[in-house]
Amino acid sequence: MNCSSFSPSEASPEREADGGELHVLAVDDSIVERMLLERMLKNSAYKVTTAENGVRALEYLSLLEDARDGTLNKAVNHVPQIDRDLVLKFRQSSHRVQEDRSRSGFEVAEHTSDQHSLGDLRKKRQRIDVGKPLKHETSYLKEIPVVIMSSENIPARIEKCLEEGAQEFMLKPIRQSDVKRLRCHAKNFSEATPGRLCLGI
Amino acid sequence: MAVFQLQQQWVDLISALFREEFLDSQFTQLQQLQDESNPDFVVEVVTLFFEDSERLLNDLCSTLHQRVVDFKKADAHVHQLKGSSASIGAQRVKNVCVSFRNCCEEGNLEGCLACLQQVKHEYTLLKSKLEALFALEQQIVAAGGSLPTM
Repeated sequence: MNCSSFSPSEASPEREADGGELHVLAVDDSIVERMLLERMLKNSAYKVTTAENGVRALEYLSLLEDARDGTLNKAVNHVPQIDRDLVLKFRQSSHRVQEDRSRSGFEVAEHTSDQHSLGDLRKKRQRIDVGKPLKHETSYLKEIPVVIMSSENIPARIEKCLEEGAQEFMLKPIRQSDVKRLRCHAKNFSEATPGRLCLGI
Repeated sequence: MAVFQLQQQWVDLISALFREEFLDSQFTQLQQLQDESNPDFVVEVVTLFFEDSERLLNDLCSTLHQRVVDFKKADAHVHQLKGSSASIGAQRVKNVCVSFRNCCEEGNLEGCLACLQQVKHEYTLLKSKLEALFALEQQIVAAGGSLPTM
């Protein structure tokens, strides 16, 4: 097979200016779609963690925060387990978190399998307590960009998601070219952090 | 059989799958994700799809045969099936799921049962064709050939 110098399988890891690898948390309740997402993200040279629901995603993110605070060993020990168990879609409501700093978690729209429509996310929104308060008021976790994916193309709902702070909306099924576009949403954090981008449904 | 003949059979089989709309361009995406470092990717994803679909079809059957049918639950199952079939390019299965969802939303039990039969039929057809395709691929590789790039 002829490989051009830009062949995905030969790509070196995507790196931020500070040298950190770009890491995507992909959240989806379908095991088939998780597998596809993971392959496509790896082809674009991202480091990938998958999650099966919002709760799991938040657990993972809270572990990342532990890692950032120097409890790295704990995070590393837990990550493989979470990779196996996780599958979730979640939507971070960044505005809400910033408004009320005493809250201990993100507003998470619990995505049950019978409520795929984004409009219902509002009704199902519930506080997920990650077990402890976020350590910093301006925790970098709140800054993680979120991209929403859905199989339903409903403008009002899409708009709502974007208003709530999502960077972009992507219509499923996702293609490799969609994944390549994610690069533009990866943020430059002021300090090196293990998380870079969140991808959720 | 010569490798060339096996490869030709493969091309014919897969062309028919696209022409008869069993598969759409999303399947091509899957094929493009397969490479030397992931030589079995398509088989792996499709196998996962088969397992997942069979589970969903069983759940659907059970949900639709309850004394009091929970159409929201049925709709959730169909939505999942629609999503995964769309992701792998299973066009016909996905199309039946679209009608199926309409029946669920209307609470139309007769319609739902008809859709269930139809989706099972399309799924079974697709599964047998893809299994034939994969068997052919194994023969080609065993004979020292490689899969044609479409």
